[in-house]
Amino acid sequence: MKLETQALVIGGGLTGAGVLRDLALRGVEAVLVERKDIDAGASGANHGLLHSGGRYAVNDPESARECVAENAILGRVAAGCVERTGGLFVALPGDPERYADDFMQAAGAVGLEARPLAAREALELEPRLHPGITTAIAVPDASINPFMTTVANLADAEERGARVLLHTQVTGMRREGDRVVQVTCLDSRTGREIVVEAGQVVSAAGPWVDRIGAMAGVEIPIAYSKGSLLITNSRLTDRVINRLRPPGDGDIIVPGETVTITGTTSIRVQNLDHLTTSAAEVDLLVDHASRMVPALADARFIRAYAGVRPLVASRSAEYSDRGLSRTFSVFDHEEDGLTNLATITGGKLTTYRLMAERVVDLVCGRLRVESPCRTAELPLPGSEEGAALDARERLDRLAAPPPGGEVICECEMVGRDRVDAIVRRLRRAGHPVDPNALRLRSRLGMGSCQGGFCGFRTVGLLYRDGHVAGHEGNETLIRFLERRWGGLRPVLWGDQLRQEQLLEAIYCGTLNIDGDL
Amino acid sequence: MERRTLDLLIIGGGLTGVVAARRARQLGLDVLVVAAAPGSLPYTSGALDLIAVYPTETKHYRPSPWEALAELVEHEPDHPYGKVGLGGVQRAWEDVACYLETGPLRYFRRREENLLLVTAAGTLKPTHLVPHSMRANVLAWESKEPTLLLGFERLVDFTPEHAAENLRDRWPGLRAARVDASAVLGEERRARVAELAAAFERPAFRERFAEMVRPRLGSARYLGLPAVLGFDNVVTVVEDLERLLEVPVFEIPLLSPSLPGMRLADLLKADLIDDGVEVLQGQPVVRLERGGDRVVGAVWRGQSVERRLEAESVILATGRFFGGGLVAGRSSVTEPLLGLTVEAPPSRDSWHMRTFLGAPGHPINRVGLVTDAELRPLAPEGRPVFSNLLAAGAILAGHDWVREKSGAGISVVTGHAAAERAGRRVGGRP
Amino acid sequence: MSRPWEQLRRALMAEGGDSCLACGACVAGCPVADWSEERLDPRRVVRLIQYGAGDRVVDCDWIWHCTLCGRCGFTCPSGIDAGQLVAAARGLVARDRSPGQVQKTADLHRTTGNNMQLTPEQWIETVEWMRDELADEVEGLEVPVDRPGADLFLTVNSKLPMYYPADLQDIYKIFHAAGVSWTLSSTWWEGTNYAMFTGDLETWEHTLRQQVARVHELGCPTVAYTECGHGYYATLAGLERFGIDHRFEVVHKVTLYARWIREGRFRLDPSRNPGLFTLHDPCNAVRKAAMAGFRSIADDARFVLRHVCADFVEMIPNRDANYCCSGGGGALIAGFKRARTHYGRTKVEQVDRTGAGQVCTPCVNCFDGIDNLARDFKRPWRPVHLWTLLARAIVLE
Repeated sequence: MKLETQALVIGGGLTGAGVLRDLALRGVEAVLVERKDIDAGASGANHGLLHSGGRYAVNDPESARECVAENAILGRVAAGCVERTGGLFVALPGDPERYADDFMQAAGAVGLEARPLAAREALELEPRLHPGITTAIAVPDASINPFMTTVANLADAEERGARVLLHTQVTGMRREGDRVVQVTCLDSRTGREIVVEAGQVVSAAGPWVDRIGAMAGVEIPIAYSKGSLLITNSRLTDRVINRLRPPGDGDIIVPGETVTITGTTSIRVQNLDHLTTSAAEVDLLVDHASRMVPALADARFIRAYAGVRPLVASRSAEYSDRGLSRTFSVFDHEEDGLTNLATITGGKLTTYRLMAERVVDLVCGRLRVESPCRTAELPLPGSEEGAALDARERLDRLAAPPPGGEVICECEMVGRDRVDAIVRRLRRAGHPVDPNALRLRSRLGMGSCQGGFCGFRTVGLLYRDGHVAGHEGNETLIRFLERRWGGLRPVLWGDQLRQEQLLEAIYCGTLNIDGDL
Repeated sequence: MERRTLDLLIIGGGLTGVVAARRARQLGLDVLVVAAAPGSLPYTSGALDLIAVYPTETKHYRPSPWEALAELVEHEPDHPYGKVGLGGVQRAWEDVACYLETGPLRYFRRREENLLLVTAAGTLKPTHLVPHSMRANVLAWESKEPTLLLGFERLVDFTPEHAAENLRDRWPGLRAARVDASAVLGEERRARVAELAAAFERPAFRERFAEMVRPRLGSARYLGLPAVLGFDNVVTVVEDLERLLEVPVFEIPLLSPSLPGMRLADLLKADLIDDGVEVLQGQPVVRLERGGDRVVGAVWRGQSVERRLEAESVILATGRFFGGGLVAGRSSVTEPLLGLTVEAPPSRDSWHMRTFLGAPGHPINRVGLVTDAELRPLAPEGRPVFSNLLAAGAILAGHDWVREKSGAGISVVTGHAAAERAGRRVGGRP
Repeated sequence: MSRPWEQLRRALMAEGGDSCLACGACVAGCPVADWSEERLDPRRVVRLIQYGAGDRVVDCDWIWHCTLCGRCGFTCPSGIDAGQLVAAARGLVARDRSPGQVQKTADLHRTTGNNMQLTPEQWIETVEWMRDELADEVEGLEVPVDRPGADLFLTVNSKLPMYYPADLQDIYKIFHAAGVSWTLSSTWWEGTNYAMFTGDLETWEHTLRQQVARVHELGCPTVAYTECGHGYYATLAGLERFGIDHRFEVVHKVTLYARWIREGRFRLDPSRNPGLFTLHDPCNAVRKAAMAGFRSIADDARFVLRHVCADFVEMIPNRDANYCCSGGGGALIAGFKRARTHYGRTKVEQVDRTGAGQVCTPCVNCFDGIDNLARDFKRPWRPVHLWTLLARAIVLE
């Protein structure tokens, strides 16, 4: 199948989705291809933190400034995806005392609103903080739901004529002269080949940009830095908690709607596939985080996951991974003799919109499209004026049992009507329908049982409505269970092990789904 | 609470504990059962597995459990079945099977064979002792006759198409349909398992249900329903439906909680109480007291006051992680009541395989209490920790009941065997 | 986040709430699971509190549809008692917004010493009136009031003097026939504690301490607690929870009846109670008592019943697995009639299946609960107190 378009975006993470929306808003015809489902890379494996800039103020002021600006912008245009939790940087005995002063000074320099607090006040705000904290600084850190944000970007783009092809992998490019003339893709669900001829190609493939670049004959030096994170069963703090000292492992705690997410590590890996989190990594994260919030030492963790940050390694020999700037890079590939390929990589979730703006500026310049970028002003769908919810309302909306219909996911209160609606949207867009696709677009399967019960019910619904036939549903179910297993395996102790034992008993006992009978 | 010294205290009220209590009572012992929770039966299908896969490395399905057991006992003397011995396994299983066959749930079996049950996912579950309500489930599959699987609108725990689609290639005559019971249930009642079960207990509901279903049967020679056919009266319910619909009717077990499992748990407990055995549920034991090389007493909490009971012998039937018999920290596994030795791989990375469902199974599942032939937990140097403490059931080391499909068997056999061994000790005889 | 969230979370953690495996055992046994538009059940209450949505739990009606029957905690594999969370949530409801008459009743108990606002004079008048009537039949009948040093201090549910005074005569007859040393009290004689239902810990403790002081004043070594399930439970639980020093033991009257029968204190003629009887197990005196480590009256009640009536059949399930009468937890006066009737359908089906004409209810609230069900569902069976059956079966020489 052949597809012609003005712009092709490679990568369905938040950056790619942001690029697609920006292009669409500027009137550029665009297609996005993603080899899996949305947010399959770092966009689906992060803290969910909308940085205030505090973490970078001292060591990376350029990043910090970007965060300050984008925090305010996204807080407006993505208000429906953001919870304005606020954040605290807390110091423990032994932490460098100067850092608080350095922090305040740096905050001033980058325009970050920061307010010092006495330990007592911080403890009143967050009773679960370690009682021995010495001082604290309040900043406007916030929590952002990356899945909702990606979905909203893509939905808006599609609304404006863009096309999104999921489960469509770029397998090769043909280059003629100074242009990439063809991008060959494979629809992994149907086995169908799609050849795209695009005026401009944007690679927003996260840490895979080097592979994509290689297909066009360009070299992009990327280092892979894996970060692991843990999710708890319930929400332990209201605010983002950071350590008031130079950034290190395991020093961030972020409330994510109904849970707490804590991390992270920074480990060089050579391989992007089969990312795992070892028991040692998990233990390290628990130990570090529980120094700030002791309750985390005994908390029940429901999942561990890892994402890879692409670090543009131009100076990799000189810095540790944390020293490499977390700000982003846009490659125009003119040095490589190409005029219609651009690569955007690096950066962080908080700056996705800015990253998109920069690379779309480049692309539009090349296309001679003069419309300005409006993504800093135009709210995303679901984030219109007045859509912003305060924490209470937001929680009420999330937490309420659905008003009618059967409940499919009891852990996260996802009802039949919601599931049906998502299934309809997926079908309309030609996307595959399976429990994982539902999980990415709701909270189904994200709770304590990690899809153990609701995965089964969902597959039942899929059979009932004819979306799967024969053995497909059970195959999908098993894939779903194996997928969730990757995140469960590292945290299987205490109550989460009990949960898993119950589910293994049900699947291997009552259902004998592991048997070949 | 009166103080008294029992012959036998059983800690744990699941299948293991109640089977042990029943055997102890038969032997004339003064026995009491104390349990924190109802045990695992409510999360099982209600059918009792003896063994169906051996060895688990190859996922070799064994149609004859006794052949598999003979092999297992020879190759794995430290497996709970190995500890009890083939003869002990046969005796225990026969005792309990006869009891269940003649009881109100009318279990049935074929002595030499495993039976295959159709599940809610359209897979087949091998098992050995099957309650009457699932008898026709086994027969329908074997016959491959035209069969209707019927679900209920709004009961999302069971989708007949899920089962039918997965079996259709081998069973072309299998059909799926659903009925809307809400009109009959009444508008205020949601189609939940408990509601449907209460409804099926009523003759009037069964008649109206049969009226709704009769026209849908077509050429079906069997009717399969989710396991909601009443509570303890299930056999009456099934027979009445069969009379009304003129086809055999069967249950398909659901996930959690499972009515057939609950029925069995309730029956076992009620029979024990009728036999004069006290069963204290909702009362977790917090401490066992030692005297020399013996366990002499158990302490459990009221609201904040502790109570105590003494016993000649104690059987620990507290289950694995689910029931709290074993507790997993981040890098070790412990037995919480006495700190009995449990050896687990030191790194959690080795506890589980990299896939959820792959063979042979997760190493952590084999971790548990190592015992002597008397089922007494051993200290690291190989002696029994206590002369009068036995362990039975899933807490024992050396098995993987989920992959062997041997859960009920291990509970029944070791519970039975532990009671017999405790019985021999009564009166202080070693 | 607001205070209810934090306080309920603490209550949740005390229950070990993070251990919930979402298995649904609690839901399967709850008579009001997902029954109304609020769509709540024990599992969802645990989940909401984990979310931090404590406000929703405090503001809902469902926590008043719940009867605190304890079934959820009884079946939970993780040992979480969702009923404790409901009780904690009730405690966070502003006193003046407590529904129906439950808090008001607790307040009356606190200010007047009993739920019915009876003055000591009114109470004694009724006591004596019933005594005088019965004395015509029972020779040598004595009904001691405020007797110091009596062995047994008897509590009485104030519904009796108020609505069912003749029941006092059954009690007199039993105690007379038993030949025991006992006394009523002119003050702090109430055998209930509705404050436990509203989570009003202060009133619960206060009224209990007053009664303890009265028992100490009279110097009675044993409190013979009347047939009021929650009163019995609230007393034992309150003594422990509030660390109240006491120099007496608390025994349920039904336990005493059983003991007296064993001691041969009565001549009994079960044929005086013809017809088929079944037995309801009051949640607080059976399941919840057992779980809390107090003496359950399940065996005692059965023992007595078998000796005072000819024909007895168990309802299914029974003992600590029995279902609530639908009137527990203050439900009789909380004002949610529809919920209570819906709740009661399980109990109605249980009784129907026994074929019994009478349901023995060893608890005053359960008596009213089952009576309401019989009328609402137009059933021919009726509740009867165990004391009624015992009194009738006692043959006095």
